[in-house]
Amino acid sequence: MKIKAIALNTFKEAVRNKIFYLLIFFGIFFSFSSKLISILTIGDTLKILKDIGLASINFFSVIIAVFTGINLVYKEIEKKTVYFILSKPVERRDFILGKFLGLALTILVALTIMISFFSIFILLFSGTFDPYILLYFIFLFTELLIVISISILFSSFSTPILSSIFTIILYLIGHVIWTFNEFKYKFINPIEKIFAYSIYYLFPNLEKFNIKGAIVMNDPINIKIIFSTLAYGIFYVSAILLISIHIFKHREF
Amino acid sequence: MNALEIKDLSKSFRSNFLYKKTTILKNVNINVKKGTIYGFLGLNGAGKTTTIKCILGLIKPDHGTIRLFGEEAEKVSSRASIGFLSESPYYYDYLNAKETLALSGKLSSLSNKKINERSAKIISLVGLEGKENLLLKKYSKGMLQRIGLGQALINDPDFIILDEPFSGLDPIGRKELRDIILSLKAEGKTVFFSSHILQDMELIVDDIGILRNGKITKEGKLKDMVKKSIKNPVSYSLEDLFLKEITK
Amino acid sequence: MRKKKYLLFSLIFFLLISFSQYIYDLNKDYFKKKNTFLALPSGKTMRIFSFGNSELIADFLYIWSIQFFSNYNLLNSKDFIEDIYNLITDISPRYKDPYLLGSTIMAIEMNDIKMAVRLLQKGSKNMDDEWIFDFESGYYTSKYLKNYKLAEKYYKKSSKKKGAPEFISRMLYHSIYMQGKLEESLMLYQSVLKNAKTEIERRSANLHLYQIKFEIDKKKIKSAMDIFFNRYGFYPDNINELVTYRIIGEIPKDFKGHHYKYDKKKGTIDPKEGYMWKKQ
Ligand SMILES: Nc1ncnc2c1ncn2[C@@H]1O[C@H](COP(=O)(O)OP(=O)(O)OP(=O)(O)O)[C@@H](O)[C@H]1O
Ligand SMILES: [Mg+2]
Repeated sequence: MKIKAIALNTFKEAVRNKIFYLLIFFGIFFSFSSKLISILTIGDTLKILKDIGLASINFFSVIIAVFTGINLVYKEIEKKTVYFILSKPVERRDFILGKFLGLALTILVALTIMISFFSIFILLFSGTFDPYILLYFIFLFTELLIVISISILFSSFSTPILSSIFTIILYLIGHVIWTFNEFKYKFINPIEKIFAYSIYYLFPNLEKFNIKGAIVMNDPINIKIIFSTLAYGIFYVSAILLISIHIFKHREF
Repeated sequence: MNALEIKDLSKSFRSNFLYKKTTILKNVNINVKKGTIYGFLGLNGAGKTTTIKCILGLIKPDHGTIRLFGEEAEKVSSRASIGFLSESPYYYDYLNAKETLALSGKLSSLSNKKINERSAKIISLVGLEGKENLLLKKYSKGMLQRIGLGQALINDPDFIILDEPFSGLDPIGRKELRDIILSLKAEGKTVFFSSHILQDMELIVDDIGILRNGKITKEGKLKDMVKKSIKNPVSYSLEDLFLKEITK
Repeated sequence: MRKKKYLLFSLIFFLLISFSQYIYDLNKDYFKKKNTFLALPSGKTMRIFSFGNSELIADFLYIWSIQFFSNYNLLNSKDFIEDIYNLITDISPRYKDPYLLGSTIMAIEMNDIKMAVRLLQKGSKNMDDEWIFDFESGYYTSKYLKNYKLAEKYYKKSSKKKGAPEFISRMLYHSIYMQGKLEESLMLYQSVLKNAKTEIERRSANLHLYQIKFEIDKKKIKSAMDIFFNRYGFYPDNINELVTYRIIGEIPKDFKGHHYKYDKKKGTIDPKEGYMWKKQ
């Protein structure tokens, strides 16, 4: 109940900010602008439409996640509205969970708007609805939940600028860390090996949520891959939230 | 059982990793009896807000115990019967007065019905009729102070902590606030407040405590203290007492 | 211990994270589309540093390449064509259009058939369920290089793939015929005739068979005539004399059962029907 109140209040804060609409608008605008760019190509224009559309949705939803995540959590501390919440009978754990759920709701609404526009656009263009887009939606949302939880973690002890930088760096690392699989056989020294493997398993591995390539190429996706990816996302979010709660619980305001 | 019992409260801050800790509170002892109005005095930077933050669990004491109606202040449940007004208005400026009261009520586990009932009463109590749908970012300082008081009272608390409640209010507002505090006392509630506006405080408090150099140097019934130090019975006031105590 | 309970729980979740990552890695083939002879390592680098938007980069490179290679004011624009299309197809190995457009530019505009075929074969390797790359390779090698043996290889590969249209096998038989393997192509076209479903297919097979049989017969008659000429110093007045003089057992008839026209001066035969398949 209290978590719900905090979550809804967070959502309210996000949607009463004009920047939120601006970012959604840009996401839709750029995915529509793919129609213009596709005029310049020869061959499969649907591929170009999907690529540009999905990439712009991806880009703007990540921006929304990073910045609303950091902004809305840090603002509470910066503007001391956290006093208002924590002077009530509210567990600090519930504050973090409420914030997380509110941000998740915000992202869900933004994504739903962008993906719906995109699907209608593709439907009008090709006459078919691609069910993989739904899977992409779920994957992207899970990835963004990880991004939000990381931004909550950082803003629970750091300044907004540093938090944004850390979050973005982790996001980028998360998208290249899979390459470890291509050279992991080169580690022979056991200490190096343990070190390399623990980094590989500790850092968020986000490239697995990126199924844009498979969608555009209509490649089949293994069901085990789908489930292990979703489980990974849920576990990662839980771990990060628990650490955030721990930090927040021992923090003074 | 007292409403508030603070025993040997100490708190020090380290503002930087490199600097040494500075002690703000040294073995502070405060006792607030149920159904009274307690005035908490001290110069700027004496540690009044720090003490209040300790009571609310916003910061952790280095040592010492704090009990609210016998319950340890560390526990979240101890805050269920507390109302708190902070020294500056830290509220969500994208909400209006009604939404602020509703949020405050929900965080105190009030039902929607109860919230509607209480918030109508409170809006007229703090004198914000007609302004309840205006966003807080458009409020003046005094209006924010009023909504702050409103959100502190929404859950019908037994113990009300007010950090500098008179700052920013006009003379009528101060009079109204005094009346509100007195009516809370009449309902059997306990009020604990800090203020620099001694004239207002003098009119309503039962007990006072003066914080100096991190210690409570004087605590007791205002009437007794003013009487005891009478030399010039005509003009002796809380202000004279406070200045004498501070410059001693 | 109680103070750290959230941290302890997070540790458990990190174990679960590692476990699900492990399961994922077991099911993921990281080496699937790996090219052992990567001409440009930068294609892979670009894929890594596009942070998940490699398809988009491939699109932009592709669009850019179209504009770049259709700008006829650039004199040396074609120097890098192979590198550029290799780069695009390294970034997005399963994107069909760049292979086709790139090879078309290489073959038609630059007359570099070998380069075009190289690109198409890369496509055939990366999208091994796609017939068009081998078909195009066969087409270019037979049409421009007149290497029917190589063309036969590509057509054969293409015709075996899923969804390959029927006409590819006819192109294949044609390339066999063009190599002069007359007996083999006679057999192949007979099976085409047998399996023909439409009138057009039947007619086309008949024409081919007529032509092939004629060429086989012509060779036969020619060698018999040579023997006759060596013996008597002239060609016979009537073609039936070859049987009379026991040089061959029987005078062959054309595919429709008619007699060939006999040219006494040259000692050759000609088909009755006007149609002839032109050899390029
Ligand atoms: N988080 C903190 N870190 C370091 N020092 C702090 C912190 N919070 C308070 N202080 C210091 O503690 C002292 C007491 O501050 P506090 O806000 O409690 O004073 P106050 O009695 O409320 O004063 P005022 O009447 O001005 O409100 C000040 O010297 C302040 O600098
Ligand atoms: Mg203060």
